Formats: sequence, structure tokens, C-alpha cells
Amino acid sequence: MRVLLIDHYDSFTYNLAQLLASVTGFFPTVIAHDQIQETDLEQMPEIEAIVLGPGPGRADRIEDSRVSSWIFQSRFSILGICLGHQALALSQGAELRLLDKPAHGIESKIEHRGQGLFKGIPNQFTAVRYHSWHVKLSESIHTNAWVSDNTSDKTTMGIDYSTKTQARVGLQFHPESVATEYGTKLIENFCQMVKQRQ
Amino acid sequence: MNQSNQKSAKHPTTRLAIHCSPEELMGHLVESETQKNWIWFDSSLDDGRSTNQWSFIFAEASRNEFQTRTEALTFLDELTCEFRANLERSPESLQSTSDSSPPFTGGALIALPYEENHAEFPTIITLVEKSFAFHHPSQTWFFTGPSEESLLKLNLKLNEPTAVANDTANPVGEINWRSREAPTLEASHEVYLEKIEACRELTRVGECYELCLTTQFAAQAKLSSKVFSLYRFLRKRSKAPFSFYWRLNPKTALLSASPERFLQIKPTANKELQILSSPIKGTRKRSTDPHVDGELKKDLAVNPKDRSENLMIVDLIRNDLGRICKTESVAVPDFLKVESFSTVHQLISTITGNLHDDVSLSQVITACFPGGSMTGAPKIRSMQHLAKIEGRPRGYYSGIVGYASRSGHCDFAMTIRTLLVGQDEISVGAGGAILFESDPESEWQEVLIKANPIIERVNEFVGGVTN
Repeated sequence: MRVLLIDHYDSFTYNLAQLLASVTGFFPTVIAHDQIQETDLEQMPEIEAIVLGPGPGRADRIEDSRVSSWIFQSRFSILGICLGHQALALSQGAELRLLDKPAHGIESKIEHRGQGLFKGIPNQFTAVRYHSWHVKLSESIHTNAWVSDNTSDKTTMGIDYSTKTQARVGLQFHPESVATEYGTKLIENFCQMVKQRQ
Repeated sequence: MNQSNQKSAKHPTTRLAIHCSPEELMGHLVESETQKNWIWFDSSLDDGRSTNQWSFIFAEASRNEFQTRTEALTFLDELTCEFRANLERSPESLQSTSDSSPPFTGGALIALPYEENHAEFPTIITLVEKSFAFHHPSQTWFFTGPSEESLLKLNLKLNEPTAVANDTANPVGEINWRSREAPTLEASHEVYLEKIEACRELTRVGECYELCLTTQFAAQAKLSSKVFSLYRFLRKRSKAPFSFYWRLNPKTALLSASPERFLQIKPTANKELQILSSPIKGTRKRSTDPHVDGELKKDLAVNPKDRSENLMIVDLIRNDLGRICKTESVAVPDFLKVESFSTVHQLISTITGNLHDDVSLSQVITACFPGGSMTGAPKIRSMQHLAKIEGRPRGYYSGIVGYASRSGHCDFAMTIRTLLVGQDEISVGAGGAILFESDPESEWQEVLIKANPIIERVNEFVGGVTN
């Protein structure tokens, strides 16, 4: 599967690229968020899915994610990571909120519904978080993973807005981090979701 | 720019039958061949388990200075392409990948400053005329260069009783250190705490995940004529695997006790070029009380803040190597390992990968420089904010110093724990990673833990202390 990876000038983009390459067999096309326009997608017939990468700043600030104003209107299946995940949620009417205390380089236990991206992954697996913001969804039905600890308000860690024809999923944590478990499985599940909808 | 047309000459490497320490040989060469500029990459942590098994003494053939990084990297690529072409013509030289044959067999030395283009801090690329390589585990010397009569006499001279090196400086009296931020240490303490708060705020709102904030301490002192004895004096107390002594040009010398390897590149037996980086994040002062020292070490190993700090940089370096390495080759053989040095315990991780076949040295440097452990994450956004918060150039501090050998090997140290000796001024930089969890006062203490061993030792030197 050929993937377009949108880079938000993060220092983890190429970890995702390497992970995608190891799962799909093809190194993804990597383009910075301010170097691509809607019409460019038409010139890429080989692309089957888009991964909206992580990055600094705010998902609702145009300078930090220029693609988020148009990419969700495209026909593509999309996996959003961190900032990309927040951008996806915002496009569905979610709110962006600051964490009481940022979680940078924090390993958390993740609970989930075992569906979509999380199929076949044990509950309470460890994932690495790099975020100050999180999303509050308007309908909790789209939340399919959250932080498992008693002190937090179950911060959303995974969202699913997929339709019959498009996979539209997001992960707040970083599947590509060295200390995240099941990163490969998460990407395999995304590829599976894309294929089922083609 | 002062560019030399001289190509780096190719010479055989031979084993030398001399028995002396790198310090003795360097002392001898500096005293007997005074017209040459001798450079010492000094793996002075000689305790058998050091990550750097080689020390080198180089004679400069020619020095090239570049005002822009682009010019410097172009020059470096021309040079290393020539090395690569030589390797392909005589692949037997690739056999020199055994651990006990010298990785440097002629080539170039590079000092790259943190800023890309800054007139005050040119990139230096020095071509090497001849080099001595010392393999610490086997205590063996090698020589690469034109065979000379002087070399034959070396053993004789070295065996003569020499005057004990006198590193007691003629006392020049007291010197007054100040930080770049403020005229006194008390005032700089206040200013630095404010800067830490500015960094914490940036992490709170998601601009950065961690920021490596730094400062520099400086003092007026004319020490450039005494740099070698000053270096010998410093290294007695601060042993580190990537120490170096380099008079970059008549204006600047770098005297380093660096514990950190930025990058190493080495050809492997199956014709891959392996790249390795060992970033340091997480520091504890050492204690003379073994029990307290052990507790400090244990705390560094389990403290969540240090773990986050290091984990972030591991992910960042994996990213940088991921840009230039083959798919599925990037690995983390050492994750959050505590290593103990003369004055500090450090948390160190090691990331490796196999370079794509067509990657040039300038592409490697462009993908990985500056080292993530000196910027924070994400790198570009952090550097933009740090430039504003720090408000002045870092110069050679936070840059790298290393070699590119015609054998295909490269090795670069991070320019930290380094005294810069200028004509009228000396300076030392120090810093630490700021996270939201950072306690500002402890972060200031960490800066002092890193800078003080050098500052105090320099004070002893200028004050006439004799050991």
C-alpha cells in the first residue's frame, strides 16, 4: 500500500515513515504540510491512504497545520497521529482542550474497545504520549481508546469516524515511539481498514 | 575563506614499536616540533570499558575556514567522495574494520559550530599531514604519514628521561567569571530562572516537548599561550572518552572533556556503513561518599523526569537516522543506561542504523545536526524558540568536533564540557533539558554541576595550584 505522510515539521515524522515502510513494503511519500495543495493529490494516483503526522503547536492554528482546512474533504482514508488526530477530531466538531499538565515523553497504559485500530491488541498496553492538548468529542461513540489511570479524566487516546468507504481514525499517542507497544499492529490494522473499504 | 588546494595525501599505516602514553607522546611532539599545529583526540577515560578505544594525535597539513555551512559541507563532500573512490579502487582497505586496526588512516578533521552562518564562528576543516593512533585496550601505537627520519628517532627520544611536565602556570592571579546574561553569577541565576519559566510555558502550550536551554560563562584572561599546559591540567581531573585539544586557529582553542558521541560511522564486514549515536540526557553530580554516590546513580536510573527527557531524544535521533538509513535498520541497542564519569553520572542511550548506499557525509550531517540532545524536541521549533530566549549565538559550544577518515570511518564528539580559549577571553557553555516538570532551581544547579568542574579547575590553574 502506498501512503502519503504529511509532515508537520516534527522530530518523529521519519519514525512513522520507517514504521509505515516496514508494514506496507513501500517508503511513504513525505511532504510538509505547507508544501502541498488540494490539487496536488490528483497528481498522485498511486496513493491509497494519508497519514497526518504529529507536530508542535495547535491543530486549530493554520500555520501549524495548513492541510487540515481541506484534507478531510478528500476521498482518502486518513490516520491522524497526535496533532493529526486532533485535526481530524476538530473537523468532526470536537473541542481542543489543554491538559492540566502536559504529557511529553510519558508512558501511559491505554484502554480500548478492541475495535478498528485496536483489534487484536491487549488492553492496558503501554504507549508514549507527546501532547499538551487533547480533544473532547461531541459524541463519545467515536472514542475507542483512552488513558487508563484513576487520576485522569480518561483522556481520549483513539478516535474512529470511519464510514463504509473511508477509514478515518486518530491516535493521540505515538505508535512509532521506541517505548510504545504494538505500534506495528496498529499500522497493520489501519492498512486492513483501508483495504476493506476499497 | 582560506581554502587549500592541497589534496589529503594517502600514506601507509604502520605499527610503531614505541611504548608511551598518549600524554607522553603528545608532550614530546608539542615540545620537539613546535612549528606544527598538533591536535589531540584524547580518549582519556582509560578504564578498559570506555566507549572510545582510540586516541589520536594529528599534525595539521592545512586549515580551511568556511563562513557558511553550505560551503563547508560542499568541500567535505568533495573530499569524502575522493575517499570513497579510493576505497572502491582498493577494497582491501575496507578490511581495516577489525577492532584493533586504526579507524583513522588519513583524512580531515572538522569543527562545526552550532549556528549555520555566523561570521564569528567559521567551520574549520583541517587536512591531516600525519597521525598517531593509540589503541587503548592493546596499548599499541600506529602511524599514518610520510616515513621520516624523525620517526625513527622517536623511540630513542621517548626513552630518554624527560623533564617532568610542569603544568603549574605562572600564576596570573584571580579571574572573574560572569555569565553571558548578567555581570554577576547572582544576577545570571535570576535571569536564567526566568528563561526556564519561558521554556516551561512553551511546553505547557505544546510549542515544544522539551527545550535544551543553555548559557555560557566567560572571564577575561590571556591564556592562549598556555593552552597545552592548561589542557593537561584540566584532563587530570576530568577524564572523558571524547576529550579533545584543538587550536582551531590563532584566535581560538577548544579544550574539551566531552562525554558524548554525536555520531560514529563505520564500515561493517558485510559492506554496510553503520551509523551510531549515543545522546546523553540526564545528569547527577557524583559524591565522594560511595553510599550517597550509589543512591544518586540509582535515582538517575529510575527518575521519571530523566526517563522522559532521554526517551524523547531517543525518538528524535531515531527520526534523524530514519531519514538516511535503510528501512528496518534503525535500532536502539542501549536504552537509558547509566554511565559514570569523573564528576557526573549520565543517562545515555545508543541508536544505530545502516546508511543508504548513496548517502553523502553532508546529507548525514544535514539530517542529524545539531544533535537533538542540545536542541530539544521537536528540533526545528525548539531551535527557533531557543534562539530568541538565549538571545546570543552558541558558537562552537553545542556543535561537533570529529574526523572523516579515508578508511570510511567517521567519529564526532559533541562540543560540550568544553573550554573555549580566545585571545583575551575564556568561556564555557552549559545547559540542560527543560520539561514542564522541571524544577527551575534544580535546573540551575545542573548547569553549575556541568560548568563548575571546568571553572574551578581553571581558577586553580591561574591561581598557581600545582596538581
